Amino acid sequence: MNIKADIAIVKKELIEHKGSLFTAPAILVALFFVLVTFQTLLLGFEDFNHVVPFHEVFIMAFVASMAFFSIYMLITLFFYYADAFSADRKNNGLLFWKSLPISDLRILLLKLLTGTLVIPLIILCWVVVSSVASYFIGLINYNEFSGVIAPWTALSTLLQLFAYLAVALVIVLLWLAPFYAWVAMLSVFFKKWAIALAFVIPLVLIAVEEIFSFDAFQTSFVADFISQRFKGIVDHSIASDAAFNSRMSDMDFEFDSDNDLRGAVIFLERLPDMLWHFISHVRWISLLGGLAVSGLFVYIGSEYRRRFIQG
Amino acid sequence: MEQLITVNGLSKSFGKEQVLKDISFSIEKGKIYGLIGHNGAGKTTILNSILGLIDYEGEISVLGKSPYDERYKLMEDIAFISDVASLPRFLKVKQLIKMMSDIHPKYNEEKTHEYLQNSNIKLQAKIKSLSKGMLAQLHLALVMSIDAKILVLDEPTLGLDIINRKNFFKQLIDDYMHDGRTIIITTHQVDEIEFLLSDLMFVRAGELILNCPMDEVSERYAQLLTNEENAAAARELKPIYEDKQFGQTVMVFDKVDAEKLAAYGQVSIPNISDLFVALMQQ
Repeated sequence: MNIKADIAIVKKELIEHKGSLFTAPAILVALFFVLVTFQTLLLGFEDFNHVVPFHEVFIMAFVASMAFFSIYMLITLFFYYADAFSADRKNNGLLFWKSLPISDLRILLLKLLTGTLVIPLIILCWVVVSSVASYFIGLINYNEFSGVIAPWTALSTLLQLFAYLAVALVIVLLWLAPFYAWVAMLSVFFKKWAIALAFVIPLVLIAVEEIFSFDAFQTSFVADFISQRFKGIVDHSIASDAAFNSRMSDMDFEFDSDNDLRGAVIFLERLPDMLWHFISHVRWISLLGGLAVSGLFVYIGSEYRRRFIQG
Repeated sequence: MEQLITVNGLSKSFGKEQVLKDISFSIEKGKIYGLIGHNGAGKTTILNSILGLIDYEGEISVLGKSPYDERYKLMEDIAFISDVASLPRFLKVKQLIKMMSDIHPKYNEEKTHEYLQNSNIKLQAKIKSLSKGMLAQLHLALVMSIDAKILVLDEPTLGLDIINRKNFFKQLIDDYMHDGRTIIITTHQVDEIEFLLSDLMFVRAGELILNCPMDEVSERYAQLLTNEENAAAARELKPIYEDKQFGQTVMVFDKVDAEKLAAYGQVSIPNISDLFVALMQQ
């Protein structure tokens, strides 16, 4: 096992996709920083400043940034998998990669690892960067009387939020792995066409199923399966967990209400409970089954690459 | 002599078309083989089979391993260039060298730096910004820095101008051809590699029509330049090829005594390109 080789392949993937992993997020964060700074300098934040403490705004900014970059990540990963699994073929490049003492399966598994863990981690780092930016914006707008928080308090908040939400995000990504592995496998076979075929093939299957079932109103098995994959990460009992619901009953994110000024801080305090609640209701057997299917997709792709693609 | 590669009954079909027909040969340590043939003759298919890039019928053993089943393990001991333009363009030269060093256990980074020292290739340059000649130079420097038992070069100078082709082979001779290296090379520019080769292999329509050491070529084949008067008599000795050049007749003979031929005109050893033309039209 040559770990140096594995790291080298992952590094190569990051360099190859640096536009979407480094350049674009850097521009977005810089744009956010510049726009918000200008806006607050020009318009002022006086009203807001009095109502919402800095710590609250800081947590809200993190959650907003997390939401934004999570969507960015899901889109980036889709295009990463659609490209990365066929990118080695550009300019006859596969001849070079095949001249190296590393198997096709290992290369594709490293691409999968890059997409499942490394890229999400990098994008989460951008969440941290944008949070640090929001801290500095806060420093411009808040004064000591309205509760500027110390850098170490901000850092501690940031690390807690980062750790809990990163765990949740990784579980969600592992749940979605079969979808990404599907696009990746199609990319080995059909290169860029994989993007369209990832949707067209299931749609055709649903249509065929509908036609041959002779019942236009019967639910499609394929459609059901796909919809369960996207919605069913947790079991149905999650909503009826009375003890948890009771613990969370006083939490409200309506920040304009005088009673809920500390909503975001309460959110932070209850995050471990919420995360554990989520983890304990994840459908782990289905998740592991999905990972096995992902492995199968990658194996099929690697065998096709080994046997049928020379350059 | 130690045999590094043995090929027995190699056949390959793409659909209904059979591109290799029951080919057998062996590659010995310390020799430089020229695999020569027309476009589509099957040279690259032979090399791809040896390198484990494609499936095949027959038996191939490369350094005691099956190339198709154990390709990536074999690549520790085989270096190959199939297309100099195949280097990853998004990397910088420095990044590529570092990556090679991390991935290949038998790669020597310092050697590459030595080879590139006298070139115009900057370590900070992006590979996509290099000219084709520079790409060839860089790719050769990379593979020469691998302590491989066999080096395979498939049309390595394709698309290069004559100066870059000469430089490529000069670098190969100056920096690589020592310590009993084994090289298999295919090219269209047969005259340019003639001086390198120890063995010659001609492929025609999927068949190996010649496989012999260069010394044997000079003993076995003879070229006769004769006039119209003597041509008829020389024809009695059954030339394998005949052509007219500037009013004179050129004939190539296989296993005919040079002394006998001398009676009809000027006898010489055919160069590879003449022999290639003669055998291809046989």
